[in-house]
Amino acid sequence: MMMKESAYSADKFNKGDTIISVRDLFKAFGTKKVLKGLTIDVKKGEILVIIGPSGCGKSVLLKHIMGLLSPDSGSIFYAGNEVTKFSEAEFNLMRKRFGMLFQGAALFDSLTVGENISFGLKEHTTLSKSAIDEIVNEKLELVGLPGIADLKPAQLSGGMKKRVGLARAIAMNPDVLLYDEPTTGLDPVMVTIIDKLTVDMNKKLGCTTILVTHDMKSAFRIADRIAMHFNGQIIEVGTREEIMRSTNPVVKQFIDGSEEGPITLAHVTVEK
Amino acid sequence: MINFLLDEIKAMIKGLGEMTLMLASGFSFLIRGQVNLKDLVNQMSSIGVDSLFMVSITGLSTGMVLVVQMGNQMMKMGAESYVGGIVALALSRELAPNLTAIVVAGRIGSAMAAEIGTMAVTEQIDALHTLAVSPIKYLFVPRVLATALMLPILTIFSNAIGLAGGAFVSVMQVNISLVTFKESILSTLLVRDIIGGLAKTVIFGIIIGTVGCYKGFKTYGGAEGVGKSTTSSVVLAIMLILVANYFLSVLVVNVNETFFAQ
Repeated sequence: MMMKESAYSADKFNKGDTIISVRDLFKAFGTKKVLKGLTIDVKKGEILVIIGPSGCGKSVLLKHIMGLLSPDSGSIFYAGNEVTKFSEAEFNLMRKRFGMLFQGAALFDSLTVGENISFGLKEHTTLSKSAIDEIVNEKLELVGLPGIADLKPAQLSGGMKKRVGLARAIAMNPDVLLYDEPTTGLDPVMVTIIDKLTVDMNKKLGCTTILVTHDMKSAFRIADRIAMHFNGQIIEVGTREEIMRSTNPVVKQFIDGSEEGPITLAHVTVEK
Repeated sequence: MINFLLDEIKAMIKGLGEMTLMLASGFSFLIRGQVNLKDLVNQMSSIGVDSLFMVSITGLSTGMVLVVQMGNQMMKMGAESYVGGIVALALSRELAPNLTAIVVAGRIGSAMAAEIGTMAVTEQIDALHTLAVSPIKYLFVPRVLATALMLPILTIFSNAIGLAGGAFVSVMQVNISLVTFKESILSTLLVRDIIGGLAKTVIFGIIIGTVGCYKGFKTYGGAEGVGKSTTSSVVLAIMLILVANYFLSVLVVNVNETFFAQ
């Protein structure tokens, strides 16, 4: 099959068109069913925040979109292509258009900050060293950490690691950015900074953003739309206002953070 | 009990199958020339530097002990002119290749499993995938190739140091002259004995690199998981080396007899 990188580009879609579509996704790890027929559409250019209890399988959904996990059944479409039928080579073409920020930043600890950010560029482009250095500096500037290209990840704080992870994710100017719990474990000020960066990236790069979190404050601050993930499915999707006014008892309990309600300890499954 | 054993055997066969697939995939990168030379050289130098001391001590001790154990007996039988040859043959055919491989499995295979295992539990392997870079190409190929290239070199060291140790004990303790020891080696040892031993270590190197990387990639469950992978990589690599050694030795002997028999 002919593979063209342009087939994986979001350019032919207009803002607001459905760009990623997840259909009836099922996934179990052993006997533990994590996704149970999950369906959701993502629109080009939006910030979609997926909320849900810790360990309900939100990260598993992101890993499916990236092709890091394959579903037991169901399908995912990106820019009209059925991702779930991709070969590894096709996935790699698609992944060049994607960026992902991991929960623990997942920086390569044997490389410097600069080498981390330039990793994809060195592998996939023929840019000169000076051009790559320029991009590295520009991206570091963008995440508010100029001049740290020569440091090793071990020398950085948690919040700095996340921001470097973000700089690496945006190094190739992706069409889609995925964030896995970007603010977990950070202090409130850093949470606000990361939230602001998320919105900035979305505006400056024009990229579609899917962000997974259980931090309601963040969700309401940055989301265009919020989706509630519960029990392996998306049980409600809406704008900030719609979610805030939701009468769904699960959504209400999650927003209020109350102990009483349909969400119990039994719903928290083990994430892989 | 029987079920447990069956499960273990199934898991082992599955593991061997997956390792074979990884090797095949690594080989396809290799023949397409997709090897990062800088990584390869880095790996080779760290394997050499990290294991040279251990390999030297092992070789030295083996050569010395061989002469301690048989020197006096051979002297009593008037067979001192065989000591050098026997030490040289034992070292070059079996002891140096096997012991070097086992030392490197413990020193390098475990380090690979720990490094890649840590990358796996901190999502760095996933991050490689998301950057559209194959972990097989980036991590596996340079490591396996480096071990396969370095193990023969380390074995040559082990051979030489072992012989030097044997000669030292012969002269100092058993009273065999250096000339007798040397003559014995020269009249017994053939180049093909050394080559046969070195050829085996290429395969051992592939085993050590593959098992170390495989156990690393399969790591889950945080620090405890990394510990488990590290230990199991050493156990599995040594076991596979010992099993492979039997078949490789049969092969080397047959090749020698078929092509070089006078």
